[in-house]
Amino acid sequence: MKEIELIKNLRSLKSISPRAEYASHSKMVILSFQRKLHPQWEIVGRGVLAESFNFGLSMVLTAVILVLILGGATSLLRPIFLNNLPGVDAEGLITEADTITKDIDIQLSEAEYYAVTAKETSVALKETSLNGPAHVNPLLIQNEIKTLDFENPKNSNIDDLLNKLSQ
Amino acid sequence: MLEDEQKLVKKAKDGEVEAFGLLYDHYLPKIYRFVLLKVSHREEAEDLTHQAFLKAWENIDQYNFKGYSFGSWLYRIAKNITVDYYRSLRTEVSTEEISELSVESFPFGSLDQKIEWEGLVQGIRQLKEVEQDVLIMRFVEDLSPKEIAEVIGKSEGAVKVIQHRAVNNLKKVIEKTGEK
Repeated sequence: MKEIELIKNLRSLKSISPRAEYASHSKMVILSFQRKLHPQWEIVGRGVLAESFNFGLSMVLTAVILVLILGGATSLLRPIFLNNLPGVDAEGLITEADTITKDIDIQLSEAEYYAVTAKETSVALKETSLNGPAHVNPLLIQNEIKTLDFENPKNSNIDDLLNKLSQ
Repeated sequence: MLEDEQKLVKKAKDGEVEAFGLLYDHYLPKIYRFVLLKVSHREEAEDLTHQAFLKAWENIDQYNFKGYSFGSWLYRIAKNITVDYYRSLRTEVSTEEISELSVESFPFGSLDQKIEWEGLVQGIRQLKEVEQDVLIMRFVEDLSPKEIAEVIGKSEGAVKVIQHRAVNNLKKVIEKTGEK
């Protein structure tokens, strides 16, 4: 069999067609089937308007994400969450936050005081180490006690001092 | 391709039953022939064609033009349905029983035509599945190599090679049958 003849025979199969009765019955059954439509995305998903809407929506979402990242989500969302979350005592939270802030301030001032004291102490210790502990020498202390003689009621030094003061 | 086919598809997608009805009327004979030549049994072909159109109607939202015609999409559905049909048959009916399904179901006019078609259809059925698809779509349905490539998921070049091989193989099979 030649190729042309074979192809001609194949083309003759084109005369095959379905029964008219079958065609109409099948069509009726298929078209009576309720197809599920997706209304929301059907409207949004088509046409130039839909495309521009989608583009705009994507740009807005990108901008929102950038604001959240750069601007700090916490400060933006704080009032929303405080006002909207059920069971959250907003005033209580603010009072607690203030207390914590005060505590931190007190601790900071204490730290400053300790820093100054430590500096003075270190200066004193340095002077002591350079001059030597002469003021704590027991012999000098004994001499000073004898000179002052606090026990003696007739201590002339005391009298002199009192006279000077009364003048 | 049907004139204003994409407009009809859009309307069908929007739920217009009449639009899908027009697409059905245009493609039914083509899809039916394609399926009948693959299964060689009228009732089975009617059932499978019905299934193919029902599936198309149910899933028409999934069809996007992008250069692919609606017809190519329908052929692909019909092709997959016949593959599933043979897969299910393999577990229920023996290969011999399948080959016995013949052109008795075909609406032939004369005895000569019956003999001619019988040899042709038996020959087609001895070819590889992809060769069957290409022969039917190219010579019975007059689809272009590009459209066939869309249906079978191969390149245009590959379609032309398969077509050449399929014609040669069919010729050999028919000659061999004639010798017997």
